Amino acid sequence: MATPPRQGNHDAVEATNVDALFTKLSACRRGYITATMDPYLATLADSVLLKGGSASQKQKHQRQRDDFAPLIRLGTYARYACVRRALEAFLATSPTPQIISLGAGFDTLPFLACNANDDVTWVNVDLPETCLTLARAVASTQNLRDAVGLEPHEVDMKLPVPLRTKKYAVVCVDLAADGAPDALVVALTRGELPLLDTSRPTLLLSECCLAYLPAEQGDAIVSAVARAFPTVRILMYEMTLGGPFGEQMMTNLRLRGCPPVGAANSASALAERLRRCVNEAGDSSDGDDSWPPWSSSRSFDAVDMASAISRAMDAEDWRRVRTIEPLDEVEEFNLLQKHYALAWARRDGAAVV
Amino acid sequence: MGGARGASLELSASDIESLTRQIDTLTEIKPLPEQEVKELCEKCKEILEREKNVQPVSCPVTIVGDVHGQFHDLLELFNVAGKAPETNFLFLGDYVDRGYYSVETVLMVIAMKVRWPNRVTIIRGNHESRQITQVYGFYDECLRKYGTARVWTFITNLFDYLPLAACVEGQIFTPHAGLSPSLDTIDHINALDRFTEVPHEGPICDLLWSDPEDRCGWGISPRGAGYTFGQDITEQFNHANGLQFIARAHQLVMEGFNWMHDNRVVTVFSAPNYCYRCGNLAAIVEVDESCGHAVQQFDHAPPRGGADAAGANKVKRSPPDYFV
Ligand SMILES: [Mn+2]
Repeated sequence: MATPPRQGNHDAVEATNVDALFTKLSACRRGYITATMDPYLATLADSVLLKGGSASQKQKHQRQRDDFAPLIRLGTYARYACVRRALEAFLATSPTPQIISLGAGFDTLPFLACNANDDVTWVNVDLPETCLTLARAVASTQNLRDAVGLEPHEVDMKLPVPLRTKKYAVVCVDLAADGAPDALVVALTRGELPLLDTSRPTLLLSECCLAYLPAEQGDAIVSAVARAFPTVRILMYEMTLGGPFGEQMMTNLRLRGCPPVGAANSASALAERLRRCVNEAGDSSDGDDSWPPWSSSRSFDAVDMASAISRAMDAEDWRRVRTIEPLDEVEEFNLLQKHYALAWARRDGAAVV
Repeated sequence: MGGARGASLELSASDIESLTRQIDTLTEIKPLPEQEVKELCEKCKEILEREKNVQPVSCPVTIVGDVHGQFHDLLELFNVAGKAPETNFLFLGDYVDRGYYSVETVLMVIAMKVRWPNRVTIIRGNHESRQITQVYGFYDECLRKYGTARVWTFITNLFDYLPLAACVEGQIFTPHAGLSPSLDTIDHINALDRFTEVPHEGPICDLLWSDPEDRCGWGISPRGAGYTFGQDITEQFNHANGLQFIARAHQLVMEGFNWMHDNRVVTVFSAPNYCYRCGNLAAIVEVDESCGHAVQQFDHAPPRGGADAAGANKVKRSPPDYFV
């Protein structure tokens, strides 16, 4: 297999994790995400930003800021609310749910999920520095430790699995590397103590992660997971780079060192890619069509985030956040939302032997 | 300053000399000293306080929409439209916020107004406000470039004097944003007391915040200020005031201009690649001697690395934010 071209650089891609945390923190400070909704955001951010490794420290000095425009907070909230809603619906319908979260960085959903469910298993997959920073943050923060049920001996700060509890593990896999699709499945399902059970219903969660990889690599990763886990749900939140706005976005993100080379052109193109990946993985039965909660009858689909707001978000909650700050940037907000998509797929198949 | 009201409007030879120098300095993207900003704002106030709420404008004139501190693109606009005083300008507001050069941009239009008061018209946009500039960047930029907020205070005090709209030859009504349910005629607008901060609601707020919409009638604005207004409202207003059409700014449109309401409203947006993020074209509307109009589009100025490295003019250039 050919080595996938190294388009971005690891530091820039890893830095997006800190950036995403900053925007969520900003949304939290202004009351979009409240402490009642998510008691983990403030403590995780504190811990990562104060005790984090060198790259995050650098980031902190570069961008110690709360000066994001209101549209960034609002869009961050829309993303958070949609993904959280899909996750909660999955947790509610699966007695022993498993979640694989790719490039999740400093996402707080695992703590919410682990805290609320005894039988959940959550695996975060990320790059080395993020994994170590995250493991340190969890180990040193009371409410994060409690959420995932961390015992002192369960942290050893060694890659590839610096932290592992009954419910939660942090695993380092470089998804851009040669052979990453297989390596990921091996890391998740084999070894002395497999992290996950392939017979259990599994949600693959990926937010702004696969777009940084060449499209074939991203697709191969999704296919590999769908092959290994016959009953799988997939939820992606990704940029889609059509038109002049999309071209400018590519230019700007390239300047930051993390061009989304694998981004689809549109929501429907992303849905089509997802369909191919899932179908390649094997036959599927016509399973449960109640996931995600806003689902159509198709077993795969995607909507741009502008439509997702009306389709996937609670209308009352949207009204709440929409009035937190005046939004003079309505057209720009809509443009930005149209260049992100929420895509999902589900497959209830027999195990591939 | 001081002196009799009428006399102070005549520019002396030394006024002209310093204005010429100030415009040249700004063109080189260098800031003006605080004291000069203060004097410029005082002179501009004297001119603006005599202007009407709906300032009459003669053709030919070039109508410019939002610029939002994108100074390089304003220079690009002058390449396309020509410069004052050969070209007459009508600026529809939103000089500040979002871009990195709000100070230079707003000082440029102020200096042009003072230098050629009868050839340059400037009106108020919703960003010409104390409150909005504290959210969207102009306040921070002043602090960064001058170390204190005094320049911001001089300029935002001047904003209270800006007309609320203009009207070209009695035929083209040009507010920054749109119409108001409490204003049926231009006479109504002229009767308002405008010398105040932009209110949160009411007729002045509406002129600076409202948007045309496909849906008929008045609607709730997604911006949380002003209203949306349909084609029926536009037709009524144009008819009552004997207008050809309304030219307004305020909304980002990808082509730089957008006709709506059966060609009775045009949106003009003059900040190309808005916020260095949107990839849009910009446009201006050129109204000729016989009041005919033509739209000119233009693209953003090429990126200039280091051209503005001049010590005092510190520019914060962070790439635009996305969800990453
Ligand atoms: Mn505006």
